[in-house]
Amino acid sequence: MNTGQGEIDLDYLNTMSGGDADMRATLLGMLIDELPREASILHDAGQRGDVAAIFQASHSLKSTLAYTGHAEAIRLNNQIEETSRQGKWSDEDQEQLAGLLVKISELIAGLTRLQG
Amino acid sequence: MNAMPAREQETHILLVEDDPADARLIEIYLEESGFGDWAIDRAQTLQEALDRLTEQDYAIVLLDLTLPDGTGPENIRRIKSEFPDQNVVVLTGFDERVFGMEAVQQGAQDFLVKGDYDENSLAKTLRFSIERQNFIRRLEETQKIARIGSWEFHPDSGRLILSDQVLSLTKPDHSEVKDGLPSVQLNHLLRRIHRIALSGREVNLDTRMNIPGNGDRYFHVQCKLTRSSTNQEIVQGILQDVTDRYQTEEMRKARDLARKSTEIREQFIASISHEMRTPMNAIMGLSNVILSGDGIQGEQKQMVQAIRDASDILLGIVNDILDFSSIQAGKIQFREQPFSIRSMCRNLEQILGAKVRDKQLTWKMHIEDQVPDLLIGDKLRMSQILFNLLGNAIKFTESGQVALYVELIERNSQRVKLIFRIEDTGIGIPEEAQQSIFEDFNRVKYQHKTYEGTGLGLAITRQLVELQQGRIWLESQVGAGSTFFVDLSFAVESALANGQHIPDVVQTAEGAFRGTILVVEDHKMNQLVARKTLERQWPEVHILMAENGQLALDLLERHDVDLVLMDLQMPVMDGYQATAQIRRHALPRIRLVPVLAMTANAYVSQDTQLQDKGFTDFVLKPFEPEQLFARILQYAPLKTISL
Repeated sequence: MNTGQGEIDLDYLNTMSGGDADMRATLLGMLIDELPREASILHDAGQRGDVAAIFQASHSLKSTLAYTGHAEAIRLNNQIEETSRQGKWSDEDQEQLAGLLVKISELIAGLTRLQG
Repeated sequence: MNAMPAREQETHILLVEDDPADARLIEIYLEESGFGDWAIDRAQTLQEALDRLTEQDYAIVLLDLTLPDGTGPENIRRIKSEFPDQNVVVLTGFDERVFGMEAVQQGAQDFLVKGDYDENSLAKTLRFSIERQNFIRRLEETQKIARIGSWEFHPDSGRLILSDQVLSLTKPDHSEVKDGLPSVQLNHLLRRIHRIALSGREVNLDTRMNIPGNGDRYFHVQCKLTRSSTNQEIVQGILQDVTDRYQTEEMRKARDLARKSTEIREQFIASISHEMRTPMNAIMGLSNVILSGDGIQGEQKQMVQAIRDASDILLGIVNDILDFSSIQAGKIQFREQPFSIRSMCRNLEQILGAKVRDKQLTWKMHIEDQVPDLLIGDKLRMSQILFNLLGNAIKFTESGQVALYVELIERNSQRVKLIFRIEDTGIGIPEEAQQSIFEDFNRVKYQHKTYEGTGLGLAITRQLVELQQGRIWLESQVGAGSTFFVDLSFAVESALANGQHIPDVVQTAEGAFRGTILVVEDHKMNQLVARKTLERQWPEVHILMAENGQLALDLLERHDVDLVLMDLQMPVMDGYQATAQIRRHALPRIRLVPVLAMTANAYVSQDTQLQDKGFTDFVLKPFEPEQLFARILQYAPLKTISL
């Protein structure tokens, strides 16, 4: 299902809610709480250039982003996770991370609007 | 004839010499030379020599080339043609040196020129000739064993010299052998080889020749180009019969090809069968959904019912093919874990109950009290064996009873041997068909009716029993029914038997699950989703939640858990460490619990060593609910048979 909120696709979240409106609201609320927290951890790890911490944060973010259905954010995060898993990190990767954080901030705004 | 008494270890010499003076001189030289023990017989003609050689073995023939009944190299040719292995040293006159050389080419070991040798050179020549002859004999024996022969080609004269072994290898029936000439094929081959050798290329080739009376044979040929003392070209080579090696190689290639073909076929079958299961499940699932609703009645309902029943049969066939191909490929694995035999049998009773009721049969099940409830074995395969046999019993019984009996036949502190008896009052199996009933693709025919199925069910059952070192057999009487017997041995877990109970896990035929699942996951949303998803599917499931591996271990100590869903990346203790600790745990109920890795990473899911790290299998995140349920049902204790 397309939510009409940019590239957010809550099909998966809705499926996992199993038609339970309360569950859906809970998951949406958790998303809005979790995303800034996880994005902040990723940002800090990137600032330190701590590749292991970037991998951990990115891996954790992966599960959260799956609920948003945001293809571009998921793609960027997957690239960051794979690069950091291999222990590599460059300025280009840092730029990609910044791009991801921008997408996440847009995502949070979109989700907040959806939550009403 | 001048004869000396022969003693043991004496060298027997046949002196072929018509001149008494020359003969006497030889004897004198031999006496003076210290040649050792020797005895001489004398022949004065070539014919007399041939007669003596027929009667007795001689170490040396000293052959005069000028005899009353033969002269020159002809003498040696005649002896060699009748006694090819005979050691011959030729005596020639001073003006007959050229004959001596020719005689050597004809096969004499050496020649002595009369008047030009003394006692020492005589003794030396004779000794060397014996040694050379012995050496040649040993070499020929070796060549016979190796099926190898030597040859020599003189391009200038066109002469081809072949060892006996070459002739024997290329013309074993000697039908074409005349005057030692090679077969036309061999002649052509060796001349072709000569051309190659002349070009400076290495000759090292395998070739095939048709040998009259012996079919196609393969030969390895090697040679080199040399020059004689007179600077004439000689091609020297060997020829070896390598047919056996070729045939072995051909057989190996054929075997490899057959194996490869089998692998491809098995992969194809497995892949196709696997791909068929998903749409089959959809057809069956949706048919059930339609049937369970109120919006369908009458004929339409019957039609959907027929679709579901047909799909049920088809899925059974696909499962059979998958199992069969796994067994054939040697890929089937048996998982040892504790299970309750009574619970397993009750589960089967539930699964098959509907069919028994539909046919209005009587069902009986009895498990002897002496049978310990807790066994260690592959309960999935055990269930499959009994399901197949009981399913057949129901299928082939139109009225009367189907029964399952479980009895104890042997027991020690470590193991028990049980016999499972599956009885029916069905159509029975004719005696002549009983022999082949467990063979692949054997389908039952009765009163001109062929029953549905692949004919693999009993073949799979037999394999499942025998791969676990069990036995299966039957007794049957047409019209009276059949009894199938299975005996299998199981380990008994004394640690669990003392005071600990078996988790109370029951699944229904629809795949319902009632037991305890431990979810080890640090992601809050995933925790919630996992809990809600599982509870929605199985309202009676008990979920335990742990945020990391360490907490999971603590929970496992305190609770009876039937299955663990384990995230891999977690703080404090990750999924790999936790699973490793579970597999080393002292308590079997923890050590043997199924652990499914939960991973969002394709690279992890493709890790073929996941099982080596202790995981039973994996599920991909984000969860696909159906996939998650299927995996849980696949590995949870007392898993139902695929329906």
